[in-house]
Parts: sequence; C-alpha cells; structure tokens
Amino acid sequence: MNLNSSGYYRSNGDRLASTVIDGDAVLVDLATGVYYSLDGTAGTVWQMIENGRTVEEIAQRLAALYDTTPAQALSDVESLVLRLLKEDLIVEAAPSEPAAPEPLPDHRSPYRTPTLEMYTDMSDLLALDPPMPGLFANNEKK
Amino acid sequence: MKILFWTELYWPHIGGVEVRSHRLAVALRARGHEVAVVTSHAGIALDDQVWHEGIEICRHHFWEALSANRLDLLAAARRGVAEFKSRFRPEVVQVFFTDPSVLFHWMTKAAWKAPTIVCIPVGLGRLRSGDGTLLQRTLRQADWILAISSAMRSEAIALMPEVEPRCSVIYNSLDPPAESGDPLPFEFPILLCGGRLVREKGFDVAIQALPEILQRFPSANLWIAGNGPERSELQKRATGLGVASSVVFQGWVEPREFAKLTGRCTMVIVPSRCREAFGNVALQAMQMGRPVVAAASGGLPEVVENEITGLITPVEDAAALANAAIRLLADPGLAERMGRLGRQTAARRFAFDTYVDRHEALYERIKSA
Repeated sequence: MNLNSSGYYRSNGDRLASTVIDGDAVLVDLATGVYYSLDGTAGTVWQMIENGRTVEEIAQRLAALYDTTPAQALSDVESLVLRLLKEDLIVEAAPSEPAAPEPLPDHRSPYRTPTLEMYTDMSDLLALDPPMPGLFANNEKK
Repeated sequence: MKILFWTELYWPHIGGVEVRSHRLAVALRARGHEVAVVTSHAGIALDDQVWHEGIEICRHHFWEALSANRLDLLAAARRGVAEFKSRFRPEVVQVFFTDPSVLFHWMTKAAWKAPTIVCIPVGLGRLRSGDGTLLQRTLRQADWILAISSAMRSEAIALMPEVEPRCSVIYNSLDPPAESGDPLPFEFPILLCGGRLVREKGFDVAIQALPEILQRFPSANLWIAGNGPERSELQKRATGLGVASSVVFQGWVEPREFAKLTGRCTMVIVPSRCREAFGNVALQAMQMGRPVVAAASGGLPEVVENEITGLITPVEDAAALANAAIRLLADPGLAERMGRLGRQTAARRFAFDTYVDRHEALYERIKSA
C-alpha cells in the first residue's frame, strides 16, 4: 500500500461512525461492529485528517504540539495513516481549502507514539453474559 | 480504602454477578471502606445516580451505546465515567468482567490512576484473545486477575499465558442461609435444578434422565426453577419423554425463595454443559444440607467433592446422571451424610467472612504494590 505524504485523506464515512471525546477518537465500523480507539496523539492525528490536512502537515503540527522531532513525527504519522488505510478507516480525498494556521500552545506536551487500538470481539463480549431485563429485587425499578 | 466496583449489572438487577458484587460491596462498607459502583442501565430506565445501603451507584448507558453503536451515548458515558473517577478518586478498581463495558474503564484510565483488579466471574473459554481484542487488552492491562475458581484461572492463563504470575483465585461465597431447610424428603423425592433456562445449563439432560429415575422412584419430581428462552423446548422434551406430569416449572424465583425451595428438595442437580465458572447453585445446595449431582463442568468439581458432598457425572451424560440420582434416592443415609458434609464444607471452605477477608487483603496488596 502506497502512501502519498502530500496527499489528502478523509474518514471512510460510508461505513464508519466516529466521534472525538476530549481529544480521543472512537470509531465504529458499522459493517463489522469492530471498534477502534485513537487516544492522545493518535486522536490529534485523526482530527487533523478530518480537518483536511496532509500527512506532512499533520507531522509538522504534531512536532509543534508534542515533545518529538519532525522526523519522528513524520515516520509515526505515516505508519498510523498506513494502518488506517489498511483497515479501510480512511480513503484518499480531493485537496481541500488550505486551513487557517492554528495557534501553538505555550508548552509542548509529552509525546507518545500514535497508535490505533482495535477491538474485534465486541459482539462476542456482548453475547458473553447478556442482561435479562425484568429481573429485579422485589420487582423494584430504582 | 476507596474501592470502585465496575460491573455491567448491579442492584436492583438480580443474577449471579450482580448479587455477589452487591453483597461484597455492602460487606466492605460495613468494615469501614468507601465503595462506589459504576454500572449500566442495561436497557432499563433507572436513575443515573443513586445511593443504596451506603453505596453510591453511578449508572451509564454502556449496554445501549455498545449494542446499538450509539456514539452519542458512548461519548456521554465516557465523560460521565471520567468525571466520576476524578471525583471519587478510587484507590483500587475491581472490574467484574462479563461484557465489553470495561472499554469505558480503559478509555478513562487517564482521568484517575488506580490499580485495576479484573475479576473473571464467567467462563471465557469460547472467546478469542488475539491481537486487536478487548479481552487481550483487559488481561494485559490488569494489575491483577482474580478468578472465582481454579478452572477460571486456567482459562485466563490458557488465553494469555503471561498473566499466570498475577492471577489468583478467591472462591465465591454466599451469605449464610436464613434457615436450615427440611429433612431430605424420600417418600416424594424432589430433584431441583435452578438457573436461567438456556441450553448451556443442560436442564434437558436432567429431563432426559428422568424416565430412568421414575422407573425406580415413580413418586419423584423434577423441579426446574428459572426462566429463559429454552422453556418451551424443555416442556416439549418432557412431554415427548412422557414425563411432563413429573416436571414442575417453577418460573423465575427470587434468590431468597430459591433458598427455600432448595431447603425442601432431596437433592440438587447441576447438569451444566457449559463451563460453569463456579457453581453458586451447588454451593447454595450445600449450605442447605442437600447432596449435589453435578456435571464435571468448569469449577463445579471444585465446589462439589465427588463422593463426599455429592456425585460428579460426565457432561451431557443423562444415564450417568440418572444412576447418580438413583444411588442417592436408594441410600438415604448416603444422601444425608453428603448433605451434612456439604453444609460443613460450605461453612468452612466457602465462608462469607473469609471471602471478604481475602478481598480486603488483595486490595491492600495491590494498592501498595
């Protein structure tokens, strides 16, 4: 799978639902029920993909926000984007309007390699010991 | 100590894990600990925040969010959990791992750092623990894994061998019974099964064994207490075998009433074909002085000592089950002796105070590790 570091990507909205909560992203493949989470730096990368940034722009921004080198950031962002492509979570997109420069924080945050966590066993776990609604102590609903 | 319980279901839901976690929480509070519970509505409109018996219960829509892929509910639950953790500041978290709601615990680890004990109260054997599973993350990230039987400890180790040094067993326990039960009836023997009417419980095997038992003891009855999707199938099977008039479906029975039923029966049969994590029904039978006929499934042989407190039969072996029941009915002295020894074993080996002591000791150890 080839990666174009100057190219644009977007979330694969046809099959994906996603949300960002306090900087962390949670994605659900609606076709398979597989859950994904992108925490911390990975959540930052996801938001920038959704904001129409190229891989290079994302890496530059990451190096500005977190305590890492531009080279390390580029390598890590490329790895993550390749993984997202492999999982069909993103697809190539047309160039978007250049985004306005975002302000930089006073201090850079500690850096952690952005990673994608996936959970392929959610439906198995839902079936493990499902609740039987209606069984209540003294038939109370409190 | 501040202890946070994480359990998909909790009071007023009734079931093995919900009742056990509730009793443990109340007992810990009685010993001076501060206990809070994060749990799920599980499809029912319950209050989000409530106090019950001194325990703060914080409910979220975990089940609804994950079963329907509702990311709006997921986001709300995640925020709610993070806020609650930051406010309660637990010193240890005990997760009763029966469902995927633990995902919210891991997603909010940064909100408040506390060691996590993952308790395994159900069989995990049919799950897979490869890369990219929540099960793997849960076993990997747990500071300690607590199994409720050696069988469950073995399952956890089989799924992920590296957990062995941080995995121990605390056997389940039940509150001491309020009453001791009747003498075992032999003139009109009652064989009791209890639990959800699902295929895994193997109640069909008990029905399958009944014709042979009735040949020797025509006045025997099989009582089945519980409800579930298999009920009509079980009724059909009883009718097909010509034993419907000897099978009594009691329907769903409250735990306290189930103890009373147990105290009226001649023996309790636990014919599970699934790997039972422990065997609460068997333990309750022992508390009430009843001999147990149990399948060699999961943790059951750890609860019921073969030839001492009951008889262990191969899984799904109706003939062996019938022979075991007939043996007890034909030898009241043996049945009564097994019942007595069961009562003693329940009081000694599965004592509730010891169960709470062991949890306290584990919390102290994990907290200071």
